[in-house]
Amino acid sequence: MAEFVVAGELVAAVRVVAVPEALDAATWPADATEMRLAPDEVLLLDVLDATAPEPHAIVFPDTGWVRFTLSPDVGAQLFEGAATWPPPSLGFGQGAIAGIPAKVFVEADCWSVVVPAGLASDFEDRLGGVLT
Amino acid sequence: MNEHPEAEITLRWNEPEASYDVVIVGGGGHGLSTAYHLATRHDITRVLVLDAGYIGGGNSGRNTTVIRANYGIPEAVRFYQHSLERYRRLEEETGRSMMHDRKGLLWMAHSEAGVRRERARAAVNQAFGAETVYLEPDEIATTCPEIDLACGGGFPAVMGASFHQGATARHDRVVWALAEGAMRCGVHVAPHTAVTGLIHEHGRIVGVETPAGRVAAGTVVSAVGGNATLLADMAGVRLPIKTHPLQAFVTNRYQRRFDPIVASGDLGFYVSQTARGQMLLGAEIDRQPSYSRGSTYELLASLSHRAITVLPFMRNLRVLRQWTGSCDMSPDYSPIMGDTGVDGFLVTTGWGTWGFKAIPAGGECMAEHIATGVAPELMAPFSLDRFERDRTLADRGSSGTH
Amino acid sequence: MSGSGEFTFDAVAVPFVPGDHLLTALLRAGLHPTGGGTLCVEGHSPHCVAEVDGVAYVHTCQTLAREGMLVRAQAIGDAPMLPSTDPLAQPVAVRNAHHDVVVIGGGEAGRGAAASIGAPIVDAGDGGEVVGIFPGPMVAVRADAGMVHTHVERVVVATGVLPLLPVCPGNDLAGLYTPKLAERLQAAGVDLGRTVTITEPPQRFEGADRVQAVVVGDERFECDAVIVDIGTTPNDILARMGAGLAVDAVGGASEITAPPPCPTEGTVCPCNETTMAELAECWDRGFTSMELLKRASLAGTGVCQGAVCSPYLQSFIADRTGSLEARFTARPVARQATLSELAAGRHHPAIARTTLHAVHEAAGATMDRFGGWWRPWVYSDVDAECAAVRSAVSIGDVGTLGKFIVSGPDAEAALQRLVPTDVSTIGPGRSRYVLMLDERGYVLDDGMIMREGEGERFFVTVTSGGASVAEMWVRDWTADLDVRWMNVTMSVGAINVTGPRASELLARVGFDQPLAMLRHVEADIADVPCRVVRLSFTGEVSFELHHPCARSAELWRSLLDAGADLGVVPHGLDALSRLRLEKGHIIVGQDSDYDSTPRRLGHDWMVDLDSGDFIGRHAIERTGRLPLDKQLVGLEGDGPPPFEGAVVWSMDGTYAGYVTSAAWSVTLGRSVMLAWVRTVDGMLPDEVRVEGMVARRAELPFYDPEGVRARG
Repeated sequence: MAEFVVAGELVAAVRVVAVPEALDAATWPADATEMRLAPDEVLLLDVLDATAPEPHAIVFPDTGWVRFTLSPDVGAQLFEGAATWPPPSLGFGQGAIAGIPAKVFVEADCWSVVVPAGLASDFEDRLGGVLT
Repeated sequence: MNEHPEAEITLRWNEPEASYDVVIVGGGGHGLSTAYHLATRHDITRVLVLDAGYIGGGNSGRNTTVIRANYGIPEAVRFYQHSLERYRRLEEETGRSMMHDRKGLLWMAHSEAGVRRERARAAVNQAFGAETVYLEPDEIATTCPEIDLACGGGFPAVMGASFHQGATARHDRVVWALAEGAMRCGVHVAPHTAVTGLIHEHGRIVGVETPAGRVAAGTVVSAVGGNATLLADMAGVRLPIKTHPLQAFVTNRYQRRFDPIVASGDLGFYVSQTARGQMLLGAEIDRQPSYSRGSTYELLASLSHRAITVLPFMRNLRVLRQWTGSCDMSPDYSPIMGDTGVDGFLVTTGWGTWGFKAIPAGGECMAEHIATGVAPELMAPFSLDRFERDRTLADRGSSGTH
Repeated sequence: MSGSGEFTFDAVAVPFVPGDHLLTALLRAGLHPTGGGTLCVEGHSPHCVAEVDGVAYVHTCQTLAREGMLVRAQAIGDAPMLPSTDPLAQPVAVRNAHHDVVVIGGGEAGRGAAASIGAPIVDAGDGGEVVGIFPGPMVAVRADAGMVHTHVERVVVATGVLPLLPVCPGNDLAGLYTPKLAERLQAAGVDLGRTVTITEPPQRFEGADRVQAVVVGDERFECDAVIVDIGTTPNDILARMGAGLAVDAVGGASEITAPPPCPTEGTVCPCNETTMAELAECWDRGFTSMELLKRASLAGTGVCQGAVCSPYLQSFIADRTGSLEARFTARPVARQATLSELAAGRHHPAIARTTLHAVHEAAGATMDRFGGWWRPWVYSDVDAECAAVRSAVSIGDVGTLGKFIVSGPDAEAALQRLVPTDVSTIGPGRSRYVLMLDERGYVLDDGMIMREGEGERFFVTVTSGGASVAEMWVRDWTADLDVRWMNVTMSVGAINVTGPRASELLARVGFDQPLAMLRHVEADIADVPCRVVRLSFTGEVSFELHHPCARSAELWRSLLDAGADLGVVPHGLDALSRLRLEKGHIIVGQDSDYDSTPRRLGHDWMVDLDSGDFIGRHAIERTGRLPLDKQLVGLEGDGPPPFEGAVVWSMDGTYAGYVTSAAWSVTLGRSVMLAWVRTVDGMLPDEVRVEGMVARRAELPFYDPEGVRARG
């Protein structure tokens, strides 16, 4: 098979840290992809801003993430070859992929894998090694 | 084919008697070396060594058997250099082969930070008699042609430090020869006898409790690995020790050929070929403190990966066995030996990843301290009260991998 | 399934038919892989191992024959040579699988267990070999197609039993087979000649190389082959390896059976050729427990890890003590894999790149790893880079700094706990250089705290590479407080603009407001939204521009373009390190040691004991009353700079310490150093010797002690 090449793209995102209850209750822009990184932290993709869910919340327009968009087949292949954790059947999951901390969002027709921009180049190289 | 020189060693076990001059808790290298030196140097033979399991079954049987002296401060270089020289004479002294093999130690750096670390260490080694030579990459290739100087392209070797006196020995043989030597002088060794408590009297420790009964002691020495803080706690002594797992593995046997011991601080990896021909690989301690002796796949995989990055000839070697030991780490990465502030209770601990190489000198010093009541000059800086006195001995030469 | 063909065994061409394992084909050709010894099909008897395609210690009973394989005999006891060349790096595939439960073993017990709980079977006999059960639990399997890592909640070990191999004189002859192997051979059409099946332990086997007769009791049977059917022993290595994990054993693997009768003669450990006589000798010499006996006799330390000999070691000990001792500890691996196979799918720790990485590379920078980041060490000429900072203006990439946003009603209290300074006095728009201490009062890290706006919100920077440790540390210590932490290390870029013409350069790209030392302000610079922080590490006027990291390259380019006629060039880490050394600024981790209190670092001015109960306070108070034993000091000398790490000697020739940082200061015309120096009678020496050069203790900073230049 030919070597599989996937290029990552900087993604528009907003990261919010707030008390867990406020994040539980918050509503985000309709087109945002919501990744709950931690009880007190959420990463929203494809938005440029968000409303603070509580007075002390940190709302941070974040340009530090790179997204790799994969077909479900390729996504599954990536997990099988490079992740020790099972991908979510739908929605958000996180863990190491090929040794790099990654966030994944699974939709019926498309998987988004998001990594810190500073590690995206390594991730891209490693993807090539897995998806051949 | 089998060498079986072990058959020359004869061990004799004892049930504990009611009273001894010295009771040593922990029948590993340090405990037995202390007993050996008490008996052979100071004629103190009313000594009992206790172990919760079999002798040498703790870290003495789980370490990676490297003998080196290239530490980072004069006090440590002197101590380990003395230990290394004692190791060289120990076979003759005990009349037992320990498969002591001087093969040299090559330490590589792959970054500016690594170079700074290795040059600093080499300088203080050189100044205190642990001869160390700085190597350019082409000299690394001469010293150990098996090394891929590019390390797969990702970690080109920038420099090496060669410590010619680096050696290995078979750990079990060291333990047994010291045990036998001590037993010959009348020292008692009771395996499978756990200490369940310490006996306090007027503020001093006067003996130990075991399932087999109480044993009175003029002096109790903790030479325990892994559980050192728990035993010290029974004496009311708080040790500044955290215990971390350290894993290692060996391959099958091959003809002896590979010298020297090769280590990389930047990659967190080292390897040597044992006298039996196995390639023995080690890494850095686990960050998370734990008493676990479990073996992880993570270590097996990542250490294999690091190994074949440096030494690609090992790609097709098969792994035989993996195991785990416990490293007692002090805040300044130096050992702790001697008085504890509680009369009748001494410790030898904080042996981190450097306990095996210290067995001869550690036991010798502890024995002298017990016999004379005065810490010999070589070990005095390593006293427990250095933390209270703020005379800590930060040793960056210990921060490597073995 | 492989077709017919030929492989070579040493120099001999050996034909095989479809489905043949190497062992089957070898025996059909009248060959024995190791010359003799009982053979099995379980992958345990070491008598069938050989070097296959450059991999030694491969069980030929587990390996399907393929055309052109190169098989070399490996005599028992003769360790093979280490490879003299590097084998090709062949990528090994890894497949991760996930199940609730898996069953190991495809025998009756395994099939039964699998059917009753609806779990898949990992069959060690089906081309895959179970390397081990690891914490997870994770079952690692080696197969020709690669490694399979199965992640589960629970493992059922149903590996059944192993045939006992005979221990008696002559048990190293060829022609001895377990029943299962004999069955396989006969099914494969291998003619075994006259066979005798024995069902009780024999007295001896007779023959020269091949067995010619077997003696059982008083009877002697002449034969060409013996089928040894003398009982079984639990195949429990995986069950024992799984102790403490969610692993259950069923069937034969879980049974505790009486050990076989204790043999009196013969080789008991075929891997290391340990005889019963040697066991007895070890025992008589005091090696009187399972582990000691194993370590002394080496029985159980070979390629089968005791699968063959441990039942006999048990019976040997039981014979002498009357009690059944447990088998020795089972550790990975159960079946062997190569380092390449085990390393499959692994990577070295990823080294982060700032968004300026490509820019640095394009500018010809030498990149190096520092604190988990790739950083430009030098672009082309470190002296020119230093000169630009001192006399014109220069820019540097400091995006690697650890960075946090802190918010919440307790944000100030949280920081107050973490650093030994009075955070309440850091007003809005102001910042302060701070230390972070551990409980022992040793310096963990240093950084800047900046208060944003009027509220309880701060921006904190720490050392490059310190961010992940710092994040765990600060979260642990402030978990009880109403505070929010956001780690923005990888999201916020930072460029340091430094030099006497830094203000001039910034004015050209849109920032012309006055900004005093240790103040910060939000502003657009070259249309990039920035937090501009006035500070100084180099000793010159400096502005750190924090900005969205996606825009670093654009900002960098604008600064270079706007300042071309000012002589702006980028500086690397080497230049930065020299410049800060002239100012006596420490780099935590390089100049600090494991036991560096602020006082030892000469930084006790950074500790405010009136600022509440910060971490390390009690240690600092206690040790502060004790005489000082060593200190990080400035040294200067007229000769060339020593290497970093050089030993510092007192003038009387005793050890005094070591150099942590050293450089030739072009500006000052002498070597400047930071070094650890021990006190003598409470005093620091005024002069020491370094690399033969007399070095004088100097007040810090070396350069511009009044700080006139940094204030601009």
